[in-house]
Amino acid sequence: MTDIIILTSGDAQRAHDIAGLFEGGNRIRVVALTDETLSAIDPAMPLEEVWLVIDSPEEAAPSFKERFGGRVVTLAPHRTAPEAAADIIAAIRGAAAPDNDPDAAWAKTLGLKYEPGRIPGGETSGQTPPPIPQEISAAAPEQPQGSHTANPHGVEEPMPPTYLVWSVVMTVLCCLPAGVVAIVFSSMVSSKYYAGDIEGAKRCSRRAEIWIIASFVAGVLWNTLYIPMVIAGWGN
Amino acid sequence: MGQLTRRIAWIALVAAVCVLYFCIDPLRVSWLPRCPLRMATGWLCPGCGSQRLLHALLHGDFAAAWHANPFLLLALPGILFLGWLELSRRRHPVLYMRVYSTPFIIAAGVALVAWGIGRNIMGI
Repeated sequence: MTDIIILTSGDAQRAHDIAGLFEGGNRIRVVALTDETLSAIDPAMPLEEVWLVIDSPEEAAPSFKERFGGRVVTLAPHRTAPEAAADIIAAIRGAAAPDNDPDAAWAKTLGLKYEPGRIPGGETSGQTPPPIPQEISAAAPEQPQGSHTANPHGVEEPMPPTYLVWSVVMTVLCCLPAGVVAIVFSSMVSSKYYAGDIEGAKRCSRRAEIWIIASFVAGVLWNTLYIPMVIAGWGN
Repeated sequence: MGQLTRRIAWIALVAAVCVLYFCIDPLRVSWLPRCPLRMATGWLCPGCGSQRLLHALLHGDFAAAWHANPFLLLALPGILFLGWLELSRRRHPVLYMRVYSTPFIIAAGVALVAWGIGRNIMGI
C-alpha cells in the first residue's frame, strides 16, 4: 500500500480524476494547495511511505521536497488524468526498484545523484516529456540520510580501493604469480562496483590486499633467506 | 594514522629509496634484491631491470634507463600518478572511480603480462 497525497490548486477536477483511477489498495487523498496545506496532511501518517503529487505550478515543489525526502511528483499541465496516474506509478516503481531504472544506472556510472521520483513537468511546449530526470541534485530517497552530507562529491558510495598500483608494483618487484592474482582482484573490484555490487567490490578489494601482502612477504622471504644462502655459497 | 602522517611516511620512504639507489649501482653490489623468476627460470619478469632503471634515472642517464626497462620507464609517470591517486582516494572519489574503470585495469594487467612475455621472446 502506498499513501499518495495530491496537492492541487484551482480546478481540482484532474486531481480527483487521478485519484479515481487508483485502486482501493492505495490510500489517496486530494488536498487543496493553500498556505495551510502542510498542516492539512495527517500528522500521524508515517511520512516515509507518503508520496506527494503536485498538480499545480512548479514553484510549490521545492518547499515540499525536503519534507518528503524526494518522493515528490510534479505533474505536467498537459498530461491527461490516465497519463498523470501512469507518471505517478512509474515514479513510485522507479524508487522501489532503482536497479531496473536505466536512468539511475547512468547517473550512478557518471557519479551523479539521481532522484527517481522526479518527473519533468511544467513544460509548455506541448510535447510529451521524455523520462529523463530534470534535476539530479536532490537526494535519492532510499539512501540513508547520513551518506549525503558525509560526501561532498555527489558519489553515493565511493569505490573501494582497487590497489591496482600496488598490485602492479608487487608483480614487478616481488612475486609475479601472486601479483597477477592481485591484479585480477583489482579488476573485479571495478567491475563489481560498476555493476552495483558494492559488497562484492569490497570483498574483492580485501582479497587484492591479501594477495599484495602475500606477494610482498614472498618477495621479502626470497630475498632475506635464499639470496644470502646463494651468496654464501650454500649448496656448492 | 592521519592522512598527513601517511603522506609524510610515504614521501620519506620514496626519498630513502631514491638516496639508496642514487648511491648504489645495482650492477656492482650483490646484496640487493633479485628477481625470483629470473633466478629460478632464467626468464625476465616484467619488472627486471627496475633497480638499474632507478639508478640510471637518478643519475639523469635516460639511455641506460631505457636500456634497463623501457616499459617501466614509459609507465613511470602513470605509476606515480596512480600511487598519488591511491593515497587520495577519499579526497577525489570521482576521479578515482573514473580512472579505475574495468577496461583500464584489464588493459593495464594485459599490457604488463604482454610486456613480460614479449621481452623474453624479443630479448629486450
